[in-house]
Amino acid sequence: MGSGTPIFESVVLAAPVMLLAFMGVVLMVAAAMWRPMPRLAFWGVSCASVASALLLVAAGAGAPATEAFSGMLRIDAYGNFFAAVSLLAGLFSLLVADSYMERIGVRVGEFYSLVLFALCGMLGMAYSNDLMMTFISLEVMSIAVYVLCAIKRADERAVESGFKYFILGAFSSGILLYGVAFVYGATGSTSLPAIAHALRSANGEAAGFLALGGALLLVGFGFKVAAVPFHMWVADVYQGAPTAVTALMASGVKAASIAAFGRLVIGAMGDDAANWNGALWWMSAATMLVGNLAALAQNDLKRIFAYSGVAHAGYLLMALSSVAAGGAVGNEGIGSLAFYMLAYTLMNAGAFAVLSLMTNEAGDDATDISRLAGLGRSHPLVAAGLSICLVSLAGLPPTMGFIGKFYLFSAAIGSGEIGLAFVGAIGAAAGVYYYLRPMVYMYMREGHAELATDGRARLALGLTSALLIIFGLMPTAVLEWANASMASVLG
Amino acid sequence: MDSVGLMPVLVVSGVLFTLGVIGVLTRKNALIVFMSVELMLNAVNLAFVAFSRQNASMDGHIFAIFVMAVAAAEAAVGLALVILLFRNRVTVKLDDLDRMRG
Repeated sequence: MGSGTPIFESVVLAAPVMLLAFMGVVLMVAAAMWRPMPRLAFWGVSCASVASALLLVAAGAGAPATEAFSGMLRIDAYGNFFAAVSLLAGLFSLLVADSYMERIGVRVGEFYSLVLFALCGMLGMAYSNDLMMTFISLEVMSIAVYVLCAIKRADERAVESGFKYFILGAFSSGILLYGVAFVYGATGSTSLPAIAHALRSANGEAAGFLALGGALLLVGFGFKVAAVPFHMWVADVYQGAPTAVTALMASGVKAASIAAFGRLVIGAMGDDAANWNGALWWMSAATMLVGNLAALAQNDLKRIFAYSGVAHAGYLLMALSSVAAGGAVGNEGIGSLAFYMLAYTLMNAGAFAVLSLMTNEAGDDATDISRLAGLGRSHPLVAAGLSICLVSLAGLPPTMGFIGKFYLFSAAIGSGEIGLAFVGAIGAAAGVYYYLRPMVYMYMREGHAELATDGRARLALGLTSALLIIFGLMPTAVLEWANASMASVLG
Repeated sequence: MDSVGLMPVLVVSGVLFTLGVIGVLTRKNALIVFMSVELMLNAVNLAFVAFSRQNASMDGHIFAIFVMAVAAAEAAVGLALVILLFRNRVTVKLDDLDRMRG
């Protein structure tokens, strides 16, 4: 099982994961002993932990790929990229969390501890080099997020959201795990390189187990990234959960799941990935169409963003599918997956910052689209920031979303996935309608939209919208980083 | 001991897993749905242990213990959520979970 990296070296290599786990425990103990919690101390410590983890990831960026913990983790540029994306998602939702949680009347220090545990799980998924490790990290992340959804204990909708997420999450984990069991049965290992090796010589009974295991893994990951037809939980869960938690779920959880799925498809399946491409193709096409069409009919902004998240999962699966079809080696479109994931995280973080502001000082948590009416006049800067995020989500220039979509579609066409790109284009065209609808409300409807006075959420919005424009105009450096990180999976 | 081969065990595991999936999809009581999920995880454990013997490696046994630990953590959170649900709504019927519509 891999190289015998000494345990201390492994701990140092996985320093960001260790830091988050340690600080999560510290905050959990502090929250139990220190009531009522000193809000700013908890918020500050959790932000500092996530920022330090981000710095640690950045510090290890140049190092060559190394295995840690007997090959359980693989610290490479791919893992670093998705770890950075998850940590950014965590940082942005922490920025809005403190003031938002105060407004909805949740004053528990455990919130920050659970966010750190969830991020720890996400990092584990990004670096995981073994299906069993992926499962454990997935559960570390998911169990924390189940609790976060229902953290407003007296709120019927929050508890309903947490419970629905829990049942569907546990159900899909079971399916995923059964897939792991069959892959283990067929190949004798759960380590991705060993699976890749065994795939080249699989035949007879083993091939049957492998096909069954692969199908179960596909369904399990389908639930996790909210791909059609496994997406029905998304809207209710996103709507009921506190907005700061939904922000983390929409981008961080998705980034981690896509990272683990991508490593499986690119790293372990290798040449065999083409055999799975039929299933990926249909999943991606259905997800792009159903996600975009379902969003058209929604009036609640959280539900709109839930289905928009489904549609974006479809775009990301299209990127995976084009890697599977075109082969990973020498594929120029390979970076589109990572690049688009970063773009999606930034635009989502900005949009959810505005949604959190819509919860006013009275704790009124409604996010109906009509409450945006007149925002362009009453809060021109916030309206401008949200517009940039929406334009980026719609994939229009001059934003990062445009570059990402352009790159995604050209990668699909370059790999011969012209049909899929066509379906995606239809979906994206439908998407323009529901992304521009909030802008119509903001600028063309009379009303007096009220927003909470929260400087940190405005800072998050300002940062994300500025980054979306900057990376939209100058994408080269990020594109190169994305390409290099995707290529590093192949070692 | 060796009279039972791999296939019979896998068949039992498959039956358990299918029963679990059917339970999750059709039952209306939150607790029974939750029990069905646990049944699925037990089917997984059985498969892991069977494959472990087949492959003559200990890995599968260790995985089964991991899965049990995770299932216990999940049960703690899941039962807490069921209690919260009952406190808020005085019901654990899944059909009553309709506070959100779009």
